[in-house]
Amino acid sequence: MNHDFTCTELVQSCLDIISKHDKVLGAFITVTGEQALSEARIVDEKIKRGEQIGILEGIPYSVKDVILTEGVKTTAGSNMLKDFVAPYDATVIKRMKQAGAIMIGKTNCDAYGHGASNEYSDFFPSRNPWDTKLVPGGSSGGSAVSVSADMAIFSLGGDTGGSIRQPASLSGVTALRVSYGRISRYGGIAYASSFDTIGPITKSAEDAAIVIEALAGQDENDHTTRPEIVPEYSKLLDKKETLTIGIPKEFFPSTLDADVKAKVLESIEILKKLGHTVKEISLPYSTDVALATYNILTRAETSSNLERLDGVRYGHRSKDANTLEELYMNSRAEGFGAENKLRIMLGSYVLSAGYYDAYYKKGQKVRTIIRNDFDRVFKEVDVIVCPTSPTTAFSLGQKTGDPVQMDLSDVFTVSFSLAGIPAISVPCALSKGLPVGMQIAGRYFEEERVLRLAHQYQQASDYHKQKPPL
Amino acid sequence: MKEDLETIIGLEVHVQLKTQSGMFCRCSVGIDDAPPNTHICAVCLGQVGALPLINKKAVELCTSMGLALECEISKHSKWDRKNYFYPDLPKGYQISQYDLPLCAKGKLEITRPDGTKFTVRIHRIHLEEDAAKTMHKGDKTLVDFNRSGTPLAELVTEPDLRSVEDARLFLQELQLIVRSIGASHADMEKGHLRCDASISLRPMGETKLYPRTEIKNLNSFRNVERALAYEVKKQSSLWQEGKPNSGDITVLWDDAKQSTRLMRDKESAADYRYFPEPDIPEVELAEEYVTSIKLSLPELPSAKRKRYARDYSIKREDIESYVTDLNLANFFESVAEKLGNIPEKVKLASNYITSDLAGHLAAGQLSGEDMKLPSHEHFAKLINMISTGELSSRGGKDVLLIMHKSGGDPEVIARENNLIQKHDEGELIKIVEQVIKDNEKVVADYKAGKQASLQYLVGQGMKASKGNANPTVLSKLLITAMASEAPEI
Repeated sequence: MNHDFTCTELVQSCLDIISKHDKVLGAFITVTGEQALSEARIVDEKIKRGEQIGILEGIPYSVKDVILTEGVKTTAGSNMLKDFVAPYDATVIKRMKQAGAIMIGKTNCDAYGHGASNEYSDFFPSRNPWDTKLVPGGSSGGSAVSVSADMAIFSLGGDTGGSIRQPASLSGVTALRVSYGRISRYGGIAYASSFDTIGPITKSAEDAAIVIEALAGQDENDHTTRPEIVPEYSKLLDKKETLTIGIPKEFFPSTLDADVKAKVLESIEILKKLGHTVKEISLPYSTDVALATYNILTRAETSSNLERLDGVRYGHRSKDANTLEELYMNSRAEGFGAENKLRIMLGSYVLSAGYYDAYYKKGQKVRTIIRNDFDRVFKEVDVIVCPTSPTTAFSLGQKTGDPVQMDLSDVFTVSFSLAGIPAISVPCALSKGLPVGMQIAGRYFEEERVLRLAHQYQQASDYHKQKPPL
Repeated sequence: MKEDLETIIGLEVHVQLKTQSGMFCRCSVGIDDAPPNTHICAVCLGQVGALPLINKKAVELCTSMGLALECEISKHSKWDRKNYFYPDLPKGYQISQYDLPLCAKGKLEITRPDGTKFTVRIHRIHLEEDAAKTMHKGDKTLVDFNRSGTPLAELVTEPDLRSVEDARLFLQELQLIVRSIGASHADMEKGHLRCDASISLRPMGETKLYPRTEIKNLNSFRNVERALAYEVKKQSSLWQEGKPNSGDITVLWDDAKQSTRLMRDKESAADYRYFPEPDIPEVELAEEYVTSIKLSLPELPSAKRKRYARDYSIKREDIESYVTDLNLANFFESVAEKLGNIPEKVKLASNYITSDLAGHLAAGQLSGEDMKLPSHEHFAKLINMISTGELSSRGGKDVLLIMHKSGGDPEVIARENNLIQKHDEGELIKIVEQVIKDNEKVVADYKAGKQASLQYLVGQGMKASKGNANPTVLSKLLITAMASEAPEI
């Protein structure tokens, strides 16, 4: 330990940046400053006494507001839960507490993860620190902003179809979507149960490795977590190995922004120089078809997951209700935003009698085909590299009138979600002054390899070190 | 013109399983009379972020039920969400099993009191979670979530029942079976066992099924019978008028009015948007798992009836008492063994157990494990004493009462209370001689042929011995004594 600064100083500096910039950036819904400082003081005392502290101990982090934090308001970015105080800690929060990390606040997000720009937060939009007229991406937009602007050293975000990777790409930070079942979902407000993951947004792949080491592992509260042991990810980053990298041709269509395309291809050259082999592969169902499939399945699951928000036991309850039906209809009409309602209606429709087979059941079958397609390519390649997002950050208000356009921001991220495989986004360039993200995906439960390649890349480049002009 | 109509009944039964915790959470369940909302957690309250956890015991108990009813057990386990809004359903969906129930295609054969038999096919049994309890207080509705998440086994029969009486017999046997395998307390009044009955009629001889009436809100066997009987009558008149129901309907049984009334259509026509539960991975149950449950099933009522009829020559009613009460049955078997399985003694023992002993236990309002049974050694000794005549039947009952209240060795009790019948012939001969001396006229009547006089003399002998004489022995001695006297010419 270098004792360059105290924990209290570190936390205070984060809080100072928040007070200086968050009115504009809108990263936080709740700042837990007092609590953070008192925890920091305890850590400093420990250090003074010469006690050993853990690697994450005293490190300030932010939490996407869909993750429950006991005793602290947890809103999911939604009016429905605007005054909801979480009655228990999510498993990931328990593990962060065990590691001694210090929570600095709850970050803004598209309500329930329904969005790709953070404009569908019911409270206020978040803004990109690189250009505040632009979106930071979503739905973990607030989390990405908090790390990008140094308001937190790392953040816990959520990724369903790209919600951790895409904002990282647009805001110039690193984010890892873990394999489905690697990290517990218990205590995360569900968007789409068979797609949701919780993961780290950080300044580097190395930091991401450190964080998931503390978070990963089976949880008795979540049947979808797996018993595989948790490797010491952070200690395995320098292992020498040569990889075959697959470049899926469908992910570099002619419609892709020319500069983004060029920058990502340049980054792939760097990977080649590191000694890896690059080969073209084909994943014909993993862009448009994947997006359509993803939309159907996630809307279905979310329409069911949000049924519990009915005004009966917690959350918003309408004052204008005289019958049970009015209680339900009015509470939900008042509590949910337009995008939430859209997804709930679509989801209910695809599950309804007479349509289930044509949409949901068929969607499940296509999901299997897409999974099998990944199995096929992973026989020839070890990792897949492609752009994270088809564009750099777009303007606030640019896509909010067009759901299809908004959904298209996820076209390169959803297929990995359908397959449940790990994928990381790392800053790989600036295009016209805005961050570009490169995505590295690997086999199921091979985040070790994904992190290693990302770490290697970050040792041969320094885009991840660049800071927005705040 | 009177048409001969046949009654078709099918039953849907929900059985609350006897587990420590919920179907999908760790909350304690099955605690009757707990203060409302004191056994709740994030999962069964439908909190955001909560996830379901499978209760293995519930899967075991439902599998046991299926095996007891000769069902096929599905090795592939799958769960589904049944989506609808109601205040007693905290998640807005119930986790259940839709297209792949745990158990299917079983059957239950039942013997009627008159000895005839009928078989009911079990269509399916699946696991699901119970909803919360709602109570109406004035214009308010209150919800108690203690019950939310309790494991339920839902059993659906084929429409094989042909009479109201058969339906009741089926329910009673089902209740007996789930109790005997330890799957449920199955107390209908406490809601451990709930029944919806579906009924339709059709002209005798036809094979097609006509639209059915589903009756809900039946909370006792008696109500099931009454409601079904009511519907039989009602539908019969409709058929006589030539206007049977044209479609399926759902009705509620109104206990106060002793009639059924139509439920609102909305409740019967819901689209539940079933889809596979993504929070619970599909699993394969190992063959060994099912086999081990099958091997650990206790003796089922039907098997016990067969065994008792074969091994003990006791009344059918006695067999039923034992089939319904495991503790009493075990007691009986131990006593029978102690008595060397000698048929007359076993029969005698069974009489005392099912009438006197059972009577004392009922009066003490104890049952099941609370029953205070005498030791089977003492009880067997008591039966032996009655059998040999050491105790009269009256004396036996008195000793038993004392044994029930405070235990003890029957021989000791009998002696202390002067209940041992004297059949020491020496003593009795003295009494006989005295009785003959004191009752010359009656003796003369007997010798003249009046048999009834013997009874009078026996009675006198009993009085003289303060009730301790063995009347059979007394009678024998009197006859001998009177015969040895020279008849009067």
